[in-house]
Amino acid sequence: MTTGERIHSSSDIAAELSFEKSRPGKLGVCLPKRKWNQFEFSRTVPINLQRQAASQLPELSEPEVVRHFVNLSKLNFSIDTHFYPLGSCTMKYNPKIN
Amino acid sequence: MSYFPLTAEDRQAMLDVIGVEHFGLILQSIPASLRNPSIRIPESLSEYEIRTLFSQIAAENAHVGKMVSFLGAGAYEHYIPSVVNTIISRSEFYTAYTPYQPEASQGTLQALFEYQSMMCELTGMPVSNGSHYDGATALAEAALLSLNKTRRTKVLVTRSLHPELRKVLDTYLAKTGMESVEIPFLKDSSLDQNALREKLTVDVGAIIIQSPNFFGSVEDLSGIAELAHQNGSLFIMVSNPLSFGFYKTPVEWGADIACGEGQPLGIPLSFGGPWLGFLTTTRELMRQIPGRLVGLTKDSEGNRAFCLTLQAREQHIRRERANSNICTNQALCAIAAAVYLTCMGKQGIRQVAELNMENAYYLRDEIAKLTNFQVVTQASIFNEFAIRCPRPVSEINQFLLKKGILGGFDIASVFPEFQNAMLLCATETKSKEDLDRFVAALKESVDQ
Repeated sequence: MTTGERIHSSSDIAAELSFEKSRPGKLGVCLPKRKWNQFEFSRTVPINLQRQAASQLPELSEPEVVRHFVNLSKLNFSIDTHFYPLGSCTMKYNPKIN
Repeated sequence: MSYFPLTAEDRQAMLDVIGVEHFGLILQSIPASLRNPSIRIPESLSEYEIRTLFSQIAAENAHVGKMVSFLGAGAYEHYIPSVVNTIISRSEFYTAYTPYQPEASQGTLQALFEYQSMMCELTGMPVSNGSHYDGATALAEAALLSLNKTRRTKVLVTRSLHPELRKVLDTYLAKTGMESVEIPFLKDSSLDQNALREKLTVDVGAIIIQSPNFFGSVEDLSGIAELAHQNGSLFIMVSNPLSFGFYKTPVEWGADIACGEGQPLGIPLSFGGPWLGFLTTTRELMRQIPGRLVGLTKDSEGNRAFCLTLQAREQHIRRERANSNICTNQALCAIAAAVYLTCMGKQGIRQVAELNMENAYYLRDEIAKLTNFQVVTQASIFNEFAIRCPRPVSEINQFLLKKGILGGFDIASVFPEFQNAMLLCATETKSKEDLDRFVAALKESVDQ
């Protein structure tokens, strides 16, 4: 790089944590609808047994989840992508079906 | 099929470099009697033939893909978003070496770091390790941690702990001079706090309670942490992590260690493994935590990077002084859980928890209406509960099997006092039709 600027590579994108990509209200899964109205658990289950503060799990859409982890995978050395001359554990080709 | 990429010329070129005439000379230090042993295995098959053969063998199994299953008891059928398998099928993840060289493993390390962060979010605890082999080994390590920390010799265990977890725990404790002592439960399987107080002696290093317990009951653990801490003991909570989408977390109960089986977080049943043990704990116990830990750091250029951290607890120390001698973890399953939790996110985890609950509550209500069956687990539940049947469970299950239904777990096989008792599980995978069909078949199984 003659200009001295860093390449904005996929590794830079992946290095952002899923938590940092999170935006309120996004959902990366499609779940079935609730079936019954009579089970209002927040009212019927003793409040003492309920979680008080919601988890702050990251909120990403499905394509964002896929991109995030595919880009992470590209930061690995692996047998299928590189020669890995290390033998303390056996590193050999994994046949896809064997 | 040969998996060796070298030709005869390649080999000769390598032999020429090291100055050996032929390959056999390299093997001469091996006694002749040990060379070329005869191995009696059948001729190899082509990939197509292998696929066909194993598909035929697999078809012999009754599985949740072709039966409607109400089996739980530690192994749970859940909907796994397609994204999970897509990601863990990437060979950059599944053919990567264990991440000793962080510069070659940033993908795995960041994924495990995120797994740890999400397990902290789910359990509310501030520290998580990179996973254990399964829930049973996670619990056993949690018990050893407590006994080492408190320098005591006993752990109290509720009888409603999964019997397989108890067995692994006792195997770990055998020959150590330490032991587990059982706390009985009340008639409905819930925790007997009076019995707990009686058995809480000064040699107790930890109180171990499973909630939801083996019978599906969500325990009221008010005051347990205070009780433990006043006695100088730690409080270990064993749980189904998916229940924390709705139910109170270990941190809210004041637990010192949360652990359990992570299989419900996007890991298939797979006939019992490989699965995933999770273990989260407090800051105070961080340096005693067993297993692998991924930390966030900076590389030589000041960029964010990830590496295995606090390694002096494990491999980089004399064996007898290590917290544990587990120098590995269930990396691919932990990545699967990380993808699952990222897909679910804050909203999805709550939704999926409530979908489990509404199916289990509906099924329990419907069975309670049947004249010959009694509900054992009357308390709050997540996705499991126990019932008493008018006939042996094995007979009912034989009847159900003919109708394409995998019935519940026969509790008497592990708790003899629960004759004719069945442990039922209804996760979010069941439709209303599945549940109604099951109740009708249950009724029919005793009417016939």
